[in-house]
Order: sequence, then structure tokens, then C-alpha cells
Amino acid sequence: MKNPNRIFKNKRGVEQEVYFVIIESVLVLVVIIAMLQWVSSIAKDEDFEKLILSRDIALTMNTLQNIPGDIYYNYSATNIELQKFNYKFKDNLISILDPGKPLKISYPFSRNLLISSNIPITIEKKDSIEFEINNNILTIK
Amino acid sequence: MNLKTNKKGDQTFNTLTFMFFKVGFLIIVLFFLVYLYKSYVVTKIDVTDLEAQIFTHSILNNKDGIIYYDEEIDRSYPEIIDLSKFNDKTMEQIESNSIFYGKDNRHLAAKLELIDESGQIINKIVYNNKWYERWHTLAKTKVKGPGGSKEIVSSFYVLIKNKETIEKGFLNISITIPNN
Repeated sequence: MKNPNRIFKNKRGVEQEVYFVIIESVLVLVVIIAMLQWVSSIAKDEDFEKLILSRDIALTMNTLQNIPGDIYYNYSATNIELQKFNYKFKDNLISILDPGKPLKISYPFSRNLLISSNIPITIEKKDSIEFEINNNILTIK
Repeated sequence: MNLKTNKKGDQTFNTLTFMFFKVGFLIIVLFFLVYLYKSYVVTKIDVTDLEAQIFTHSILNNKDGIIYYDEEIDRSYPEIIDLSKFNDKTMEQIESNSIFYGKDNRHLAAKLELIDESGQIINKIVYNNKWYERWHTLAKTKVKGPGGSKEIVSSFYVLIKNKETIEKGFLNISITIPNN
């Protein structure tokens, strides 16, 4: 049986070291490609956009319902295309739905029950969502 | 004892030393990649501070809540606390009407303490009593991620209206929100 310590000490050992370096380089390449793929998948992923929209719309609802008096607010986003998703307002939840995908992302908002509203409602693929409170009636359209 | 190594021993030692530095360098590169990932790739957003601020201002601007509201001229005074309304009954009304998070609110809880100028607590009321103490205790553990909670404490200089007199005081609001 060959002594494993001898691999670095003769010509064959040098050859084996070269193999190690090649294997190492291949491994490094595989890791780099995997990481790039992963980052690219995150960049393409729409779940983060849904996460932002759910929170942002929920906080908008919280704010608008506690404003004294009437208000009209047109919600639009500059970096996200709102028309990609459907927006379902039901009970105390805003859910962002992607028509082609089963996964939805929801976030709770508070309701001011002293104001009547057209909730539950689903806003489908619009580039902006309009909120209006007029005479204690909240309308989302 | 002969400490002098031979040529073969020297070679092995050099290779091992080289390997040691190589592994060290790889670990540094790995940590650098993790640092880059943490710096540039954001996969979570934390809105608890903003949510706490909105809740606070909802409480402070709510004419059906604890602030003084003059019905005759239909005007609310956001920084004047009506002592006659600073009680559990008003808080129950807020909870079930104006800031309603569902019958079982598992999203937000708060404690409001009204303090006079000398530092004495006049009264304290709790929004979502069922969950406040649990989340308050959890927040102390500083556990991050699901299972933990966050507590945001703020203090406001207010005027306290007690019948016809108005005194200076403070309103401490402690809001607890469970981590997602």
C-alpha cells in the first residue's frame, strides 16, 4: 500500500496536486455559478414586491381611517408595477394575489368600524388604488 | 532529541503551512460574501416602528378616544388628555370600534400611562390586554425572528384636563408587536 504522505514528494505527487487544484477550481466555479443563480432568482422574485405592497397598503389603511374629516388618496408606486397583482381587502387583511400563482402574501390592518366601507373588495390589476372617505364612508376602488 | 527536520519533512511542513493559509483565506472570502449578501440583498422589511408611530398618532388624534373633544364646535385637541375618558371603558371602545384588528388581535398591543408633573402615575390603560403582558415579557428577552416580539416606547408632553382645570403631564406609550 502506498504511503499517503508521499503524494507531494514525487512526480506522481505533483500530478495529484495538479488534479486537486483543478477539482478545487471546478468547485469554486460551481459555487460562484450557484450564488449568481441564487441572486438572480431573488432579483426576479416577486414575493418581495408583494411583501412591500402588503405592508405599505396596510399602513396606508391604518393612517387614512384615523384622519379626522374627509380624504381622497390615490395610491400608486413608482418602482413597482401595481397592475401585476390583485388586491383583496377582506376583514382585517390585505392580500396581494398573483393570478398565476397560488401563494398570496397578507398583512393585517386596523379597521375603523365607525366608518362604513365597501370591504370586502378585490381590486384587479389596476395601476393605482383609490381610497376615499366621504361622510364617514370609505370607498376603495 | 533531534529537532532538525530532513528535506522531506520540510516539504510536508511547507505544504501544510500553505494549506493552513489557504483555508484561512477561504474563510475570510466566505465571510466577505456573507457580508456582501447581508448588505445588498434585502429579503425582509421591518415596519414595526412605523406601525407603532401610526398607532400612537391614531390614539392621539382619535376624537372618540382619550383626548379632549369639544362637541359644540366639533373640534378635537390632540395633546389635551381628558382625564374623565382615560379609563378602560374608553380603551375597550377604541379596541372594538376605531382601531379594530379583529376579535382576536394578535398583531399589536399597547400600554398607556398618564403621569403628572411630579412623576406620579395617574392612571394606566391597556389596549389588547390579553396579549400585552405576554408580548411585553417576550420583548425583554430580545429574541429575534418568529416567537419574539418588539417593544417601542415613546413619551409625550401633554396637558391633562381634569374637569375645569388643566395641568401639565406626560403620556408614556409602550407598544408591543410580535415578530413576523
